Amino acid sequence: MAGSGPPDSGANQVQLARVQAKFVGTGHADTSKVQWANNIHRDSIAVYLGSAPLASYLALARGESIGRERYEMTEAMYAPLVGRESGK
Amino acid sequence: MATGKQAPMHVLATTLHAQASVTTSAYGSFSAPKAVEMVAVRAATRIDLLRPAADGTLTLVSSTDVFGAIRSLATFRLAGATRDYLVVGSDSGRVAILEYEGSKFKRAHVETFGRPGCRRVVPGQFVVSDPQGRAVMIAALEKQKIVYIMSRDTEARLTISSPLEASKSSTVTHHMCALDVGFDNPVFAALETDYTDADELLQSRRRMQRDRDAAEATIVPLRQKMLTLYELDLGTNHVHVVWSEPADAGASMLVAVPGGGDGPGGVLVMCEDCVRYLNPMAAANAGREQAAIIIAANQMEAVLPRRADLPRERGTLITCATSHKQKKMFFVMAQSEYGDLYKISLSLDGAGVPVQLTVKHFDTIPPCVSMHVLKTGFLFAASEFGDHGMYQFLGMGDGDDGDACATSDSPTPMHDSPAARRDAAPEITLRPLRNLFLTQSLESHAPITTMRVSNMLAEESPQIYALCGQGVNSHLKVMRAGISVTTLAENQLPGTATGVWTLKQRRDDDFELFILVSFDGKTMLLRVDETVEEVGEGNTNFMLDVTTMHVALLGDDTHVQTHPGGMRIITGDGRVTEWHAPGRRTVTHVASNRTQLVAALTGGTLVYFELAPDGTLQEDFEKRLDVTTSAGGGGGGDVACLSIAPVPEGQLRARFAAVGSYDNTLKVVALPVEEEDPLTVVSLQAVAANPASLLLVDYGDGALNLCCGLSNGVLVQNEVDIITGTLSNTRMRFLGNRPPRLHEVRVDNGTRSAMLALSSRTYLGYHRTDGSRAGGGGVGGGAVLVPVSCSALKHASPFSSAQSLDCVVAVEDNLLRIFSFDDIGERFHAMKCRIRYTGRSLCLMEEYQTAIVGCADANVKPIAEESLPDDAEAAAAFLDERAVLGPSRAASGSWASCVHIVDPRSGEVIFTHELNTADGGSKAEAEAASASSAADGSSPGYENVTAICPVTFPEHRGNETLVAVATGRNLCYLPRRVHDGGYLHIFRYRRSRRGEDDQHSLELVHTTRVKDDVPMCLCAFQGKLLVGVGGTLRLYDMGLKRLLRKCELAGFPTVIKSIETYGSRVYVADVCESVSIVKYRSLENSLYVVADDVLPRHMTACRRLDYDTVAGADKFGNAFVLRLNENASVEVDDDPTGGFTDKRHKLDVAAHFHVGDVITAMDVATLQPGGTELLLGATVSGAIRALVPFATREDADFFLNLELHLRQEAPPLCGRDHMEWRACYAPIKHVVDGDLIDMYASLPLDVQTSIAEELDRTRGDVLRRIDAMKNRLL
Repeated sequence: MAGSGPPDSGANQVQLARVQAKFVGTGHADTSKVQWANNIHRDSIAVYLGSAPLASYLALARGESIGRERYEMTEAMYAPLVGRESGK
Repeated sequence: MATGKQAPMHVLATTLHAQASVTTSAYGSFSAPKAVEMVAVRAATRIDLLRPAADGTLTLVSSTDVFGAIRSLATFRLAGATRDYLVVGSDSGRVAILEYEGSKFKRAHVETFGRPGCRRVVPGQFVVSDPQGRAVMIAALEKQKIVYIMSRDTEARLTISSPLEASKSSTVTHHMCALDVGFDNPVFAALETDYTDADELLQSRRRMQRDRDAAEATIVPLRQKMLTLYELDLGTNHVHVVWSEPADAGASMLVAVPGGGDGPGGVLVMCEDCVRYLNPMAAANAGREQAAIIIAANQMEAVLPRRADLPRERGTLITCATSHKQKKMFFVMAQSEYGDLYKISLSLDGAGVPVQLTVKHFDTIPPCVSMHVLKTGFLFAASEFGDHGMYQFLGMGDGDDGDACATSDSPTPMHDSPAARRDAAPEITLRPLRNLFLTQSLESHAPITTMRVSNMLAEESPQIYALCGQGVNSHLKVMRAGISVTTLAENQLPGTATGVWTLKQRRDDDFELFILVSFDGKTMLLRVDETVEEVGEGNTNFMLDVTTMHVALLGDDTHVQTHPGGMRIITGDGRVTEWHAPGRRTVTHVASNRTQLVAALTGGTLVYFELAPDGTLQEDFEKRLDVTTSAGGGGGGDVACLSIAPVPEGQLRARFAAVGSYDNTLKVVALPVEEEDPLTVVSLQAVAANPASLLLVDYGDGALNLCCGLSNGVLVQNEVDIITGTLSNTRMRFLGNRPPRLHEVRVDNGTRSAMLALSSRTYLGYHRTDGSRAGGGGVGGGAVLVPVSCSALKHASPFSSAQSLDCVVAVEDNLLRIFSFDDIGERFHAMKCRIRYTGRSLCLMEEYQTAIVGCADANVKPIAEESLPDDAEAAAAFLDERAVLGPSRAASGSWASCVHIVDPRSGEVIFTHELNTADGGSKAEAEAASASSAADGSSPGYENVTAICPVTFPEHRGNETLVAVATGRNLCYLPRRVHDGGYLHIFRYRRSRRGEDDQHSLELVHTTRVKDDVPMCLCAFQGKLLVGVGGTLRLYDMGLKRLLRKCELAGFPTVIKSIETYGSRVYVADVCESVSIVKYRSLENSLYVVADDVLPRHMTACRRLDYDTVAGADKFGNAFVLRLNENASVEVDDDPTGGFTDKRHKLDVAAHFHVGDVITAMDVATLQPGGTELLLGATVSGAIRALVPFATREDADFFLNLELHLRQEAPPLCGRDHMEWRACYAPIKHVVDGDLIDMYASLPLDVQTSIAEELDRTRGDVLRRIDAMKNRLL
């Protein structure tokens, strides 16, 4: 975040609030461990699903089809801390 | 060995073999109305346009690198238009609408909506388009959905509205489709889950944060998948939710059913184990309660037929689907994760209301990422892994043919639990293809799991050994650089041939009729008709008792045969005239084109002939030229080689001939164009060695090239000015250790000329027209010179026959070969050997010329336990069939694994050691061994091979080669990584002679149980064995009954991925924490870390480059080079405390580059005799990439500047900034993108010229430098 002016200035606060509204997962002073971890996991899953070679790489390691791997990763977006196999 | 001064590293990153895996595709008419075409996205980064011919063979029409990650594709066609647009959802934070124009895709619109990158809330993950082409919805994985309205302006150009948002926070989108609603307001359907509850619950209850199982039990049942419909109101220009109801928990995919006038409309929801049909829009005009009743009444469900061998806990998931509609029918072709195709159809009653849903097993093909049913009756299937297929429909699977079929009952009971569905599912009987027929298989090496480069077979250039494919579709591929050829005939000749020529009877004949083979003192004439026959002395006018030097067809039907004493001219009507060399001189060289002939006599005199109108050859006595004396250099020496230019289209004569002489010069001689012109030397070039062969060739682009093979093996290529004859643009390249012999051949179905250069290796020079296609070997759209994969040849001639128009007839010693080129666009060709499971580890036994392959697959039954026939041929057929049908699944947690010995010459598996089989295998031995040392008391456990490495223990076993095999025991990656340790097996490699053949086998010496973690990598080190056991580096020595632990270094952060060694240093790559350099002090027998990295890189491959430098790649697609700086290196080696200070130096980044593809293996090799050493990387998408160091700083600067200009002039197609893409995770450093450099030649001429001017060079200069760089690769 590009901050101009002294820290904690009003403009910065407004800007931070805007970023928080726009980008899910932007932290704030009261971010808990669980929220943070949830966000990290969801962000990671988004990268795994978004970049096709990475999805193939993961599917290959597990010996599943890419389609199954993608399905399970999308399912895990719901509660990423509660285990990948939660769909079963 | 220290490396001296460390120079900064500058490299070019380029693609040697393009990726072939398809990640998504689209079907439509892009280039012309009614054209049947497909767009395939290769490894997310390249857009290929494929066009099927009438017989279903696909040709590549255009290929564009987009320098970004394409995540989704959709096509749309504006009302009344005849061609489709392509909408691309990528990681650029923009929506790109592409249009095919000219010969490539161009941007029609690029609209920015968010930040670049694969972020979860920036749209791009899903793109769907309204079937009527009115709107496009582009969605992110979470929250955001944006709709753009497409229309056209007064000039019929596409316009795009400002974005309409339909976002909903904390909502995950699983899948989307656009409903077919005819001309009502466009409706988009999405499968969504709201995660607010889960987050709140987990946040509020501390107990759940600690106890995963409790959390799972509480939170998972709360999950509610919703099917939500978004309507775009075209009147008020906004998007709103019209309908949202819970969907099945296992729903994974939506497929729209044709609606409007073509069908009932509605949507198919693909769930785990079943398919549901519902049509929410059927009740669009009814009241809320009424609507619910109507929709419920319409809803239907059919279970998916299920494989008999599936364990009970496994579901069947539809992973790929396509719908096809014709005038009177439509169906959906869906494929399960196991590869089974289902034909899903709806039967309608008289009023067009669906009454029954039918799901029928159709056929089984390897699992696909994308399929399309073409209207020409073909199925394009882009496989997840391995080769893609074009299938022809032989039947529609109608009628009762015994295939598993499930229908919805009326009224449909909904199976809510997975168990109920699995009970109700009919069983699939697996069988070979019945309704489909494979017409073309498009080769894809994806995924390459590991790769080694070695010249194990002692050939001209090294071979690339790669483990490719997944599951039963896995291969060891031996790749060689070069265009592959198909040998059509191979015949023994009665003696050692000196030359071969082919002749047509008349110029306008389609095919060549004669092949002349010349020997010392005699000539053989073969007539090629239906069969090949030798023509005897009496039946021909050719002289058969002389050594033929040259034979050619002049004019329409005049044949000229040259021998040392003179020439024989045979006109079409059978008249024979002779020309004798004057005096005591003999003819040394002859060259001819359609109308002219030049002969060189001893002493260096050129004699010029021209075809007279009556078909005879007239010597013009005035037209003689002493070339070797007139230059004043050699003083009357002989001509060394001679060539004449081809007659340009529409002209009577060629203007130039070229002469090479023994004074190391090439001369261009102007031929008389008018009667009175003399022969004159117009230009001259000095070369480094004696010229051995010359060729003036026009590759079909109108430019004349003078190529010269020198006696030192170098090929010199010049451009000849077609007016003045001056030489320019000189390029040189070393081809091999024989003087290159140059011959003209034909390519592209005989339409264009090419040059075949025969040295110790054979090369083909031609003009490449498919400008955008990269893949190494030359500049796109220019003259290229690529190796041909065939044995060394002596003399060659073009030959066209009914089978192929661009064959070549060639001789070598006493062998006559006729062959044709397979695909001149391909730079590598592969020989493959099927292996049983996914390849995991490869080691090359150079001493025995064999490869040892370790393969393993989770959750499948070992093939050895199935009815594998004993007979080798039947077994191969069984495996081939399995490769199509997929493996038999076993209970989760089981493994199938084996070790093969492969003979790379024949491509056959010569020995197999299967693990995990009931009848012995290694398990019994392993258990016996481990039982003696420590009683496990547990079940036998499943083993999977993780690493293999040859090792010697000189202190204990002399130089006997042993093979160490590391296996994991009961390894499982998910839900979390659990294991039961592993084993280290030591095998003796045994070669014995039985009859003619060598028998290779592995014999178990002993097995060591490793209890604390899985051994993942092995490396022989100073007569001992280094093993990466989880996060511990351990050194083992050989013992009598087991390996003995000598020393260890624990504390690597996660799991050690690979180990490389050099001297006393060990380079250790961790799966999450980059590379560390470890030093071994043999005196104290201790290992300690001396240097590590500052960034946590998720390593997938690592290769040591020199003492201080390692190259690596991470799973996010970065390739980098890390280096220990010079001072630190010295300090490390001189450290008197022996690591006591615990000082860790940090590795510097010497180069960094985002490849955009996961590199799984790296190796260093020189692929060309005398070429540069390359760092090769094999990727999961089947590409082979290379990092090439620049030779000079000046070179690096030039390419950096060129890249800078290209970034401006050729911005990536999908809107991703090139620099941003290549620096996706970390700043790009000291690397020039060769794929971008390749774009230069495909830019418009004026742009090329202006870039060249900016660089203070000419366009030719720039092209030549690019070419020279590329020529260093292959």
